[in-house]
Amino acid sequence: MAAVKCADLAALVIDDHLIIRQVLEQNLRGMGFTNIDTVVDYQSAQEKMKQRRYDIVFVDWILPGKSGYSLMQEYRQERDYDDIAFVMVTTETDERHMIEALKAGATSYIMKPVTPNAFQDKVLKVIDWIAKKRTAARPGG
Amino acid sequence: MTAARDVRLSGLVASTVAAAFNGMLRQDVTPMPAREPRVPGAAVTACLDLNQAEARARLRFSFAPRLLARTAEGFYGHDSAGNRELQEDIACAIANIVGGRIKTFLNREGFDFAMGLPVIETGVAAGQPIQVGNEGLIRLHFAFDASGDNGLAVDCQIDDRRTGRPEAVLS
Repeated sequence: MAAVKCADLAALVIDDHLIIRQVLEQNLRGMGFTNIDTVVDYQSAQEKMKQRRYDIVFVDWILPGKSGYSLMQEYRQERDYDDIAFVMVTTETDERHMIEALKAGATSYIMKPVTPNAFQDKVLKVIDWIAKKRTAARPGG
Repeated sequence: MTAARDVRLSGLVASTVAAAFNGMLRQDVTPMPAREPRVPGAAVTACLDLNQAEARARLRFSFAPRLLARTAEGFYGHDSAGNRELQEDIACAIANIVGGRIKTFLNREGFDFAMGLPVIETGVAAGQPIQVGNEGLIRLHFAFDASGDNGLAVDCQIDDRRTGRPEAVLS
């Protein structure tokens, strides 16, 4: 499996609360991520994703205006974004929502409040997912 | 049945507030007996409603500015401690997280609540508990430092018209 380093991955964090963006960014930096952008809503996220290709997108389910869930669904319909990991970060703690998100294409699901150990465990699994995707995409992989 | 639910809901709120402040925001918040004043100083109050056709849950989170200032300082630096906008953002983020857990809990108890977005309440009413007629109000308060000062007071009141009478659940 291809080795994937956190420092080589670009992450986008979408949340309407500054403190949550800050918490996620600090947790990611603590893991070794250096390429991190943060935005506040669906529209800003779309603009960012046009400008740059991200490896992991952390998206809040509920955003003012169009939801983070809708954003993920839209990108999941495009084959070009198959290898991007979408991580739902949300206050929705109902198992039905979790299943719904995973069925719609979420790579992982993180419940708020975000605690460092739980966050790191989930992100490491997502990095494994990215590594497997990259290995599978190689000729003969 | 309701009393047992209240106890479980109180525990859920206490553990979620602790996880949010202590695990996520690096503070030291602990449950304490309810007392007056709910929080010292001019509280920053975030309100959140859960709604369905014949029921409503009102949630009110009153934060001591000193707790929010300390949290803001930890993330944004000393100069940001008194920034009201940052404090309100933290208050709403906490309300959102705790409200989400309460919604899930109550929906498992047979409700079908949808959650609104938190709003900051200002003026004379901010910092006051929810007052509903003669109903008792059960309160959940949190201390946040060695002084034992109240850092946060959470009120939750359910108006359940499905059974024909309002019911105070938790504060």
